[in-house]
Amino acid sequence: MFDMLFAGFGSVMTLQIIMLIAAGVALGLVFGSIPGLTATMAVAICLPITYGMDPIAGMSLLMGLYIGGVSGGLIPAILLKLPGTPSSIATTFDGYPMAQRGEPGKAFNYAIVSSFLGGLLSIIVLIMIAPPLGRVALQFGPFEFFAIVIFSLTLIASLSGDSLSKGIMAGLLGISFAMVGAAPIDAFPRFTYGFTDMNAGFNLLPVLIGLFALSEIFLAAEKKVKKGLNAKLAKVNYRVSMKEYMAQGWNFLRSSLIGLGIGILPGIGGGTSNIIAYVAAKSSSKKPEEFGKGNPAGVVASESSNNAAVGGALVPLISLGIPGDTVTAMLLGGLVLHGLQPGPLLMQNSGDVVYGIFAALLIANVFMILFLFMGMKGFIRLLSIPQHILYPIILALCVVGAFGVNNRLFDVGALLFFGVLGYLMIKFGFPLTPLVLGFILGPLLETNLRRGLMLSQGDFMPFLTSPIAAAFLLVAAASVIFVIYNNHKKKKGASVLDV
Amino acid sequence: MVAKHEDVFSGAFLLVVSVIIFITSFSFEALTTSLVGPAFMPQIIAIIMAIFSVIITVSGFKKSKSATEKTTTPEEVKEEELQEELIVTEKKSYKPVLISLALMIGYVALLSYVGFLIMTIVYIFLQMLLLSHITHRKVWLFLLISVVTSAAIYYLFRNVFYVMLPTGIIG
Repeated sequence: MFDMLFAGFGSVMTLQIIMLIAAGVALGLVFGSIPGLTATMAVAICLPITYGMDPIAGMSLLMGLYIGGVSGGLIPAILLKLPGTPSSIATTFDGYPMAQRGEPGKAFNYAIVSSFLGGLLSIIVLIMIAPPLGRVALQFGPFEFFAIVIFSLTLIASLSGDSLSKGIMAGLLGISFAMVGAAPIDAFPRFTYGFTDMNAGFNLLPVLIGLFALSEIFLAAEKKVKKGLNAKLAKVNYRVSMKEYMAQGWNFLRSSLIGLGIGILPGIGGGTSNIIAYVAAKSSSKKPEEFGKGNPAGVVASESSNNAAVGGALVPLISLGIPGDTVTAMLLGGLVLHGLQPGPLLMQNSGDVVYGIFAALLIANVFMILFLFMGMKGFIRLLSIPQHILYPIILALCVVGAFGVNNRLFDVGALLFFGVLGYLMIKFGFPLTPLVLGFILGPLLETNLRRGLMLSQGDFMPFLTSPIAAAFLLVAAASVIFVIYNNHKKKKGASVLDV
Repeated sequence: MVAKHEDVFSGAFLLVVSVIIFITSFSFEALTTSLVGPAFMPQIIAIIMAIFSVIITVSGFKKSKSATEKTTTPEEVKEEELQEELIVTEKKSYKPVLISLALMIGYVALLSYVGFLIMTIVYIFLQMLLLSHITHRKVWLFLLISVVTSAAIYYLFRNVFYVMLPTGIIG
């Protein structure tokens, strides 16, 4: 295997391919960092360009885009509280407070290093054990998926903030919005109220940037902020000591494994993994109350898991030819474009390309950390641009991003709708993240429920008797009981208003 | 903050939403023979939503009763700290929020008729004027920024990335 990997490195170590990877990472970082533009779009735009290249060069470029696109989201998440991609929602929770109290440099250091290590770990796992892991993921049928989705939904409880019922309500709203459009399995159009534009439902991108980015603009309009934070920039602290990094060791490992595991399962992906890793870090911390107020552990959890999900998502793609999310679906298209047959035989028939891809991933990961560290001071300078100049431009970019999803104005209208909704939810004290989680997971829940019932011919029992499903449902039930018990205990104590 | 009855309002509103979801779902036809058709999930979700909206409303009533005694909630304290940091010059007002929304709606509505380039210049310029404080209102700078960024975005996405942004009247 190592000789194969060396051969892979040999095939990508040409000036042309190295340049392609570097360009891919750079472009990916730009797309990832602009709210509204995503890794999926970057890959979609560059896919036709790879047609004229040989397979290894083409796939190397796409891998650079993928790694860059997932990592770039941390920049606006930390600086502006806007998640650049769904993968960095949880980075805003602690990264932004850190930047606000004058530690944007530290937040970046934590985020960049954990992105690198999370990516590295998952690529190594991908190289070592992709085929057996892929086979495990294939064992997961609709019953198991249903249970995992239920388990993931129970995390809403930990993300709810002040009011559990409002958090659950936000999650339910997310599931409801995801139900608009063609139903899973039989494609019956639901909640379209006669508008044909609604048949395709809402796309995740306008929902996400509407909720998070537009609502911020409305909030800014409310109080006319005069200045940014530039007064503090003079004494930005960049240094993170080795000791501080080491303290995050266990958190990093757990978050990376969560990212890897969730990345492998088709359809869940990076958008969910960072939230789950964040919740795991928070609930296993000795000081959960510090989360959301600028605890570096939150940044580490989010950023290591989303980059680990990259390697995870490639596991089923490489070993089985099954794409786990939209980016890997695009990459699958890239493989087919170059006459490669994705599937269990890919490794045997085109091992040189597969190991070339692995080598390209490792190199792209290095470029990612280099570019981010080189650009860090420049990004932080963004903070000195007054918000009244920055926000209108961001909105225009959000409009471009929403329009670019399907080249139609309906998505731009949806962007505005979710912007207003996000603003109202903040005003009425509803948390936003559960809505996104419900929106991503709702369709998976319904699809797997109905698929499972078709498989069992209407019998609900297999959802409980499948060992993997039963285990996840038990953990889900336990976590719900734990949260309710904790809430109860807190209410008995002195302060009811404690988070 | 909004009003001390915010939870009562939002809870009641969401109750109405859940009822609408529930009623709408009855028109869904099952296209498969399976027992669980397209109406199953919406109905379950609507029922759970209704339950939680009642909980939110009821606890909202309790809160607005007890709120008469308390004056500041922790949220307000947190906001005050933030305001100190950000040097706020004016009091909160909802009028600019509504104008912003109107600007955005106008921007999006006219996008396909007038075209992306012109509408983006107009929108960015007006939104900057609205968001900026009077002492920071540099009209010529704003005009320059809005023209340059709009043109850059338009050129980049139309000619390099092939996102077919509407050209409108200049097309």
